[in-house]
Amino acid sequence: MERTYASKRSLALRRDIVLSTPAVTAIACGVLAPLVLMLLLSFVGRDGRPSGENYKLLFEAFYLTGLWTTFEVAFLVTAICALLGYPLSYYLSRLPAQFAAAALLLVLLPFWTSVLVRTYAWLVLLQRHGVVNEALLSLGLIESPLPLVNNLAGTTIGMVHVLLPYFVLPLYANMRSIPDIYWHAASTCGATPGQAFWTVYLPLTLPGLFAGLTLVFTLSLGFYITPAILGGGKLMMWANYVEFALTAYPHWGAASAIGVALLLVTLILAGLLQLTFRLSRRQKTQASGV
Amino acid sequence: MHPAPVTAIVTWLAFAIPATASETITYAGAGGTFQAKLVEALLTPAVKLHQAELIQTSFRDVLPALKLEVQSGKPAWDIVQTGADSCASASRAGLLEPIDYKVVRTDGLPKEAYARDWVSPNYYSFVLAWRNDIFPQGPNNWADFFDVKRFKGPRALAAFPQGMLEVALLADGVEPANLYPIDVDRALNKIRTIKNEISVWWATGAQSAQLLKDGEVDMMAIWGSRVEAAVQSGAPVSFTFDHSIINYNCFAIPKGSAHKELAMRVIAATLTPEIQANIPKLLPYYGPTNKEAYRVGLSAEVVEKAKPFRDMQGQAIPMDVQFWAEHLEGIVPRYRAMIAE
Repeated sequence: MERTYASKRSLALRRDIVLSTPAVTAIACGVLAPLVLMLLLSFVGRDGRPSGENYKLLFEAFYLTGLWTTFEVAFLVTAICALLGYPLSYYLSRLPAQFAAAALLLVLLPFWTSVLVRTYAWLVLLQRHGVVNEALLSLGLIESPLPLVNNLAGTTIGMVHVLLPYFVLPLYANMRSIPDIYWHAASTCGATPGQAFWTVYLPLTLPGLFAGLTLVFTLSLGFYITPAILGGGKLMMWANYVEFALTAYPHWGAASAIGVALLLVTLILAGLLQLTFRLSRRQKTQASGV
Repeated sequence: MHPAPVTAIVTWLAFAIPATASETITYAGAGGTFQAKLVEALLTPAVKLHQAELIQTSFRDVLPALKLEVQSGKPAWDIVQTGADSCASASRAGLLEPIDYKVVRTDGLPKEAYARDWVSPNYYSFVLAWRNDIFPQGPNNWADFFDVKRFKGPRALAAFPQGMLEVALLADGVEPANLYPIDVDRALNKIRTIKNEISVWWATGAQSAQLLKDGEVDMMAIWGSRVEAAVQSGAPVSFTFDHSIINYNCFAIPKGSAHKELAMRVIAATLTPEIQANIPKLLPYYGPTNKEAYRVGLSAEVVEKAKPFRDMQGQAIPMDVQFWAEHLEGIVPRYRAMIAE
């Protein structure tokens, strides 16, 4: 009996190894090896010797400003995605299944269009004599064109458009799985709709909410095309600094250090978000006495 | 298989291989219409002269791309074309083959147009351009560009400092003869005075022309050839060569190129008066560096558009590319920091 169990286990192990080998090899060669190389390069100075000078560079005001801008934009984009995405996901989750599928298609549609094309489309819409400004001017709502693009506003709009589906999809899946009966139960127990939302519904959607927030926030930290096109050269996010360092310095070290810094910061933040989520969940579980 | 077809194939191969095995030259430029025109004007006739085959490719940022090619040990590129300030930077980084001036003749070229490992086939320029529907009288010079009280409206400068610091100093009253070495602090401070009016810091030539065509900005510093394209497309745009900053394009050979000797001969051919004369013909508002090109019989209309480059005095100011090669690395972060402030 025991032997069969052991041989079954070793068989399963062998199967796992065989099945995972292609994927593990691909990730090791395509992701891990370049990352290690980047890490090593970031410690090579301009004279080709090991040095920490590239990291010292990151503490100059110019780079610190860039890091701050990157977080500012990422927070802003994540907040707007949450404000737009939560009600949208809720609405979608309440639709009958066949309508929901059609509506979800509309959310997904931008997913299938090139980011570059969408970003240029925003440039055309938002510029000084663009569609939006001309419409507002002709309606008499504004007297002079609004500065909607080549700045923070334009970059934020473009990024929210790209990232909204990443927020909506996990949250929608989460909300779909919450039975209506919880609402009814809450109201039967005397909860107002507001109370039912805050004490019952919202906590149940936390996993989807956190997944969406983490996805949007970490993805926005690495944005390159949107700020490059819609930022007007004024708004540089961290990925734009990588390009800048590649062109400005005759060695790879500085650009590698910027990349490593972004990776570290992203990992730390993603970790913190996960931790907050686990803690809040544990609190909820304890409070409800389950 | 029958012997006959085999013999036929062998015979065919024997004749076909030498015919297709002519040496190739791989040419790398920044792409776009400019590369197409420059190739048509210079490279195609030069390569034809040597019965070689031309392969074209393009890059986005020349220095990192060139560095990768050279670091690979077997660069795919044989001739790289970019701005002379970038060639000078690449030269400092040791990425280029020295030019053999026994092969490449420099008769007719000014001494600024060639260096140890690059040579310039043509000039281009930064000019002041504006929407003439907004400013019918036009800003006349860089001082007007910086006068945001008399000339209200959004403006654009380049996101890189080459040429931009020069025009700031000219606006601040520095004599053209005293531009170099550039007083970086003074130039940056001058730009700071109109920073709120700079709505876009452009990064590419295509983007700059679009800004003016769409009316996103009312005036800007832009490459002369790009304005010409905007004017040709019917946009209400005017420009002046007065106090334009003249820069050179350059040809260079990446270190380790497999077709170095042929590349040298092709570059030499592009500098002959006959082929140089194609520049003003095909590329309005660019100028040939070889003055002999004007003797090849160009029409008055063609010469008119290349005049600022031919005369090179008073109005147009040549950029000191060596200054930029030496100081670019220090200045670029300061310029970008000024933008980000």
